[in-house]
Amino acid sequence: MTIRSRFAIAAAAAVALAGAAPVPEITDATYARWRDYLLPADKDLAYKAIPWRASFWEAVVEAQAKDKPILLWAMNGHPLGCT
Amino acid sequence: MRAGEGLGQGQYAVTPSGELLASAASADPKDVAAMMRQGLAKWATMSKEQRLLRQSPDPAAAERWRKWDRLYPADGLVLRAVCRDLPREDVPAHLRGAWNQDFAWFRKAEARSFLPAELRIDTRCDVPRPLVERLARFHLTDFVRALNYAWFPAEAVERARLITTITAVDGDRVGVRFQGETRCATPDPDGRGYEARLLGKATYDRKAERFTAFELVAVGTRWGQGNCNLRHDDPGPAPMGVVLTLAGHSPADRIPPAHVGRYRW
Repeated sequence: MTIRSRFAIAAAAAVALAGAAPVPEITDATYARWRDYLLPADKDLAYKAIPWRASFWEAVVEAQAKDKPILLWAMNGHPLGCT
Repeated sequence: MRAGEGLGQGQYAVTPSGELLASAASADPKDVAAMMRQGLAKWATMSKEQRLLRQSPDPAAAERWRKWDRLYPADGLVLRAVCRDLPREDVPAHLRGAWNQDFAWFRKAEARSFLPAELRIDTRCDVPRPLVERLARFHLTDFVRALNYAWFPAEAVERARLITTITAVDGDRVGVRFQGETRCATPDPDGRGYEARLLGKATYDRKAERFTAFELVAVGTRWGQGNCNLRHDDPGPAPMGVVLTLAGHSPADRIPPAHVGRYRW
């Protein structure tokens, strides 16, 4: 069971009692658990295994030189940053 | 050309000459793979003259418009910020695992000012308020579901304090602990905010003059809607957390922060 799912179960019990989502306390004792809860898991970062170029123009230059098509991922915000 | 209905966000297979081969607007990798196969099939039917530019593109041309990239603080502190809802049951199932990321930049001198002038065990300092406000206004915001164009204006900052304590000195390595709090709130009718307690730790190499490890965790309550961050049906108040850690050095880790233009660099 992942850290995240363990916390979900604990929080669900708290919600059933209180009727609202509790705000956790961050202390020295709980720090590592909340840090690990918030950090993305390896599967969340699988996209980084692809050697993305950070800009479309870099890809155009390289694709022209190598005679290859370009896969463009377009988003509001930079797809490798905040979208 | 658009990958689908809406803003044109999506995946496109294109030639260097600008021809569209195929497109998709999907988070399903199977859809993207099918689109890529479709694009490759069309690529195979094209002549070199059709798929390539007549002249090689100038690699330096992009420098004219990538102004924010030029500000990357190579000798400073570059953090990855990850934002996530803390455990709740009243979130639609398909959004429960939602998380987002951004980057936060600090120049070399700013990074050094996270520490006391004297690097001796138990010495303490307040991180300069302008730097804590940068975190509070632009990075401790609700961007869990999507980029939030509504950062906090300066007048929304009610509390912004981060205290650094030196916990260890081992040769050139200095261990530190961070503790603090922030609260930003805008008045009605906007009525949004985030209040958080901060805790963290880091290691600073005084010979290299840079952080070699950095963690800062914010846990607290957010409320209100932002701008384009998909909270129209979920104004809170609700628990949310942000964790900031050292970014890597790959091109994917050098993306300008979403609101770098507000840093006034």
